[in-house]
Amino acid sequence: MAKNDLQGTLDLLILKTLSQLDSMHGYGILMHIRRVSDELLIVEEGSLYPALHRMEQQGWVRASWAVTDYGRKAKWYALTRAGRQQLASREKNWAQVVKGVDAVLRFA
Amino acid sequence: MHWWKLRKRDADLERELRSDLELEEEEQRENGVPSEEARYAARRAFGNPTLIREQTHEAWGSAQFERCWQDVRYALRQMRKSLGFSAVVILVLALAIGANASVFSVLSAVLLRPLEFRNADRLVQITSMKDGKPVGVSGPDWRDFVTQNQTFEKMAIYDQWRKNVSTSSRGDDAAQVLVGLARPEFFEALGIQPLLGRLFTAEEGLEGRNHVALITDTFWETHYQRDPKILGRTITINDQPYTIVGVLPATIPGWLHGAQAQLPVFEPFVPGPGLWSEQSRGGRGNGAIGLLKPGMTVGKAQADLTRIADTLAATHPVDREVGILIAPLTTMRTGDLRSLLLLLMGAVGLILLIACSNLAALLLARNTARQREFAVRKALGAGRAALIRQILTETLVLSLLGSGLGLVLAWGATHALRTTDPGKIPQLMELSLDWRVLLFILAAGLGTCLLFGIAPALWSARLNAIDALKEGGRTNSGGSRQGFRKLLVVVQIALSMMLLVGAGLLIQTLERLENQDLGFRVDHLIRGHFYLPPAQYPTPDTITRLCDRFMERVRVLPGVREVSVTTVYPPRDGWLMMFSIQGRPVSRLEDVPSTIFGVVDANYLGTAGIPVVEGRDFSNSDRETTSPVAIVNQAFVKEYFTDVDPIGQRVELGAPASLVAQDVWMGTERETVTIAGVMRDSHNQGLALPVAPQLIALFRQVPKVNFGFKDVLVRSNVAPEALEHAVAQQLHELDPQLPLSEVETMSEYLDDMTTVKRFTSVILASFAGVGLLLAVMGIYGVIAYLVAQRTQEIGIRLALGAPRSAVVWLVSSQGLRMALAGVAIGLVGTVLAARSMTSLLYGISALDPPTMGMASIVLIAIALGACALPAKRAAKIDPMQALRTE
Repeated sequence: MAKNDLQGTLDLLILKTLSQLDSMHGYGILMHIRRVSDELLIVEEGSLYPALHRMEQQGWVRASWAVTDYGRKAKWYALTRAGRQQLASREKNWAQVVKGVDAVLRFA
Repeated sequence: MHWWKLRKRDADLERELRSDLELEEEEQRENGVPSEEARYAARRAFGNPTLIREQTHEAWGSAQFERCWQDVRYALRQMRKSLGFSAVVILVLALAIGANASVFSVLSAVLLRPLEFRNADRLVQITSMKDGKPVGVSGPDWRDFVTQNQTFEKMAIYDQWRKNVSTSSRGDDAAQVLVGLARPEFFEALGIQPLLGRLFTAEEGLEGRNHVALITDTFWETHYQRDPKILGRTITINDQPYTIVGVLPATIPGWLHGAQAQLPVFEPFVPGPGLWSEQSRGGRGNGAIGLLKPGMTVGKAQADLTRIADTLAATHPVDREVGILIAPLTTMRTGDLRSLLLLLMGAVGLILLIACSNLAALLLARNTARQREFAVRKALGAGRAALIRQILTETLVLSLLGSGLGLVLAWGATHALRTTDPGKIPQLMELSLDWRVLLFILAAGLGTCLLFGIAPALWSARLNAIDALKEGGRTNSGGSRQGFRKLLVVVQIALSMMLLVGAGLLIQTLERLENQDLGFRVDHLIRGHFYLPPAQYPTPDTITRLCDRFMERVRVLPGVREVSVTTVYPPRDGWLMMFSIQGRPVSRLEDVPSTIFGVVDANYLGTAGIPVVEGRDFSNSDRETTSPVAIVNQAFVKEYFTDVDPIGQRVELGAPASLVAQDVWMGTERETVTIAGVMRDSHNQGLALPVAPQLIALFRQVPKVNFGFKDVLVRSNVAPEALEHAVAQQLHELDPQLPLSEVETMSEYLDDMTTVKRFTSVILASFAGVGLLLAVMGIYGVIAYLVAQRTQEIGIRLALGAPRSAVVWLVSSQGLRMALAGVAIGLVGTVLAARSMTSLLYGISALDPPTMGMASIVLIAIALGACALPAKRAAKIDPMQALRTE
C-alpha cells in the first residue's frame, strides 16, 4: 500500500539532499532543492525548519554549529544511520506512489 | 519536549534562523544586490521568522503549554494595569472565603463533629419535665424506668458534686473539683474502656465499699505525671482516702454534667440514704442517659417512657404532671449556643451572597468594557477558543489569588478565635479549618468568577469585530446588562441592611443584659465557694461555728467593708423549696407552691447591697434559740400576699407532711419561719428571666438545711482583686484542708454569663461591617462605570449650560435610587426574619423601629458617600475633552 502525504515528501527531499551533500545548513538545503528542481520546488522556510527540527527529534538527522566558508556561524545538519534507513524506505515508497498515480492517469 | 529545555531550544532556533538569514543576505549580495537592499531582499525572501518559530514550536508539541503560560503572563499584566479592579475582586473573594471558612469551621467543630463514643447515634439523655422545665431524674423513678422499659439496652443514672480533692499524700493541696458519680452502666452505655485498670463493679455502688475512684488521662498527666504505677495510689476526696482503680480516656464531655470542662475524677454512684425509697421519688437531681436498643428510634423510646411516666403519675402523687423527655445526645451538645450559631450561619450565607453578586457585577462591567480589546484581538486573528481561554485564565488567576488570601484570612481568624476565649467557650478549643468547608468555599468563589467572567467572553467571541471597532469602544449595548448590574447592587444593599439590623439588635441586647439593674450592688464585690465535708464537720453546729470564725477573720482584714456567708446571691437561682402558708391549707400535692430558697447569715442583705423595703433585715439577735425568721422578696409578696401584710405571716418549709412524709430538703422534719421583712427584687433566675418569688432564712436557725456547701460574699473598700488572696488565706489558716474555690469579683462572674452573646455580637458586627464594605464597593463600581459611559452626554450637558451641581445630582440620584430600593427590600427581609431572631433578643423587639431607622439612614448615607467620588469626577469633566474623546 503506497502511503502518500506532503510532509513525507518534504522529509524525503531533505533526507536525499543531506545524503548527497554530506552536511548542510537549513538555508543551503533550501537553495539546493530549488536549484536542482529548476525552481519547480520552492520550499517555504516555515515548512523547512519545523521539518528539520522534527527529524532531529526523531533521530534521523544530527545538528551542530559550525562556521561557513564566509566566516559566519550556522547550524549544520547531517544524516544519521537511522536517517539513511528512513531515506531508503521512503525512496521505495515514493517509487510505488509514482507508479500507482501513473497507472491511474494512463488508464484510458 | 521537556519544557525546561524549551527556552534553550527556542534560543537555539532563533540563532539558527538569524544565521540562515545572514546567509541569504550573502547570497543576495553575491548576486549583485547593493548592501542595504540585500538585507531587505533577504528578509522578504526568507519569510516571517516569528511565524516560522511558532510553526516549529507546534512541531515540538509544546505549543499548548506555551499558550497557557502566555495567557497567564498576559492575565498578570492586565491585572497590574487595572490594579484597582483586581485588588477589589481579590479582596471581595478573600473576605467572602475567609469569613465563610471561619464560621463553618466553628460550626463544624461545635455542631457537626460526631461524638466520640461508640454507638453515639443510639445515646440519648433522659430528663424529667416539671412545669415545662427540665429537671433531673429521681432515683425511684429511674428504677421503674429501667424495669419497665422495652426500648433501651442500657440506662444509667449519674450525678456530680463539687468535692475537695487532693492528690498529695498530706492532703493539703485540696482543690474544689467537680467529681462525677457514676454507676458501671454509665461507662458501659457510653462504650468507654479504661486505658488502664478497670471500671467500677456493682458492689462498689454500696456504702462502705465505694472508696474507689477513676481518673481521666488528663488528670493523670497533670497531677500524677503519668506515673505508671498509678493504680493503687490514693486520692483524697473530702478528707477520705480513695483508691485509684483505673484511668479513663479523656472523652467524656463536661456538658453531660452541665460543666464547661471535662470531669477529671469519678467515684461510684452511691445513693444517699433512702435514695431508692419512695420518699425520695420527688428528689429530682440526677442525670440519666440511655443506650437505645439497636434499630430503636427516639420516637418509639419517647413513647415508651412517656407511657411509664403516665403510669407512675397515676400511682404516685408526687409524680403527677411530671413528664419525661428524651433527646439524642448529639443535640444536647451545644446548649444555648445552637440558636446563636444558626444565626451566624445565616449571616455568613448573606455575606456570601453579597460577595458573589459583587463579583458578578464587577466582572460583568469589566468584561463589557473590554469589548473593544476583544474586537481588536479578533481582527488580528485570535480565534474564539483563544479569547475564551484568555478570559478563563484571567478569571482563574484572580480566583486563585483571592482564594489564597481568603485562606490566609480564615486561618488567621480561626487562630485568633482559638486563642481569645478558650475557657469560656470550650468547644472552640478544638477549632481548626475544616477541609470540607474550604473545598466548598473555593468551589463557590471559583464558580461565581467563572460564571460571570465567561458570559461576556462567550458573548464577545460572537461579536462582529468591525461593528465593535466602529462604535469606538462605547459599546453600551448593555442596556439590559446595566439593569442587571443595578439589580445586583440593590440586592447587596438589601442584604447589608439585614445584617446591619441584626447586628444592631444583638448589640443592644447585650447592652441591656449587661447594664440592667440586677437589684444589688455589683461593684467592689468578691464571691467565693467552699465546702465543709461531713467527715470533719458532722453537725450543723460545727458548720455554723466555722462560718462565724471565717467571717470574723475576714471582717478585720484591711479594705473589707462587709462579709457574709450565704448560699444564694443574684443573679443565680437557688434551691426550689416547697412550702405552705399557715392558714392556707393545700389538698393536692401538685398544688403545693415552690419558691426559690436559700440560707444566709445576718449580714447578707447588707453585703449584697439589697435594700429592705418593708419590715426589718436579719440581725445578730436572731440566733439558734430565737424564733426562726425569713425575708421574702417583692415578687413573693405579689404572688402570695397581694392584699395582706406579709410581715408576721408564718410559712412552713417543706411539702406539707400530710401529703408526703419526706420532703426533698427537709426530710421528715418541718420548720416554720416568720416573715420579718421584704427585700427589693433582684434577679434570681439568671440575667434574662424575670424575678421569681424568693424566700431566705438564716442557716443557723434552720439546721436541717445547713449543709456544708457555702458561698462567701465580701464587699471591699479597695479594688476587690487585691483581697482575693487574703480571703482565701483566712480560710486556709482556719482549716488547711479547705480550699476556697471560684474566687472572682462579681463583675467577672457576671461578664462570664454574657460571654457567648458578646462573642456573637462581635462577629455579627464584623460581618455587618464586611457587608457594608462590599455594598460600598458595589455602588462605587456601578456609579463610576455609569459616569464613564455617559461622559459624552455629561459633556454635552455642561456645554449647553447645565450647572455643575445638576451633574452631581444626576449621578448621585442614581445611587440614591438604588440605595432606597435596597433599603426597602432589606426592611421587608428584616420583618420576615424577625420571628427567628426573637429568641436571641432581650429587652428589645426584633422590629425595633429606631434600630431599623438608624440602619436605613446609615446605608443611605454610605451609598451617597460611595457616589461622592464619581460625582465629583463627573462635575469636573471638561466639556471640550469629553466631546472630543470617544
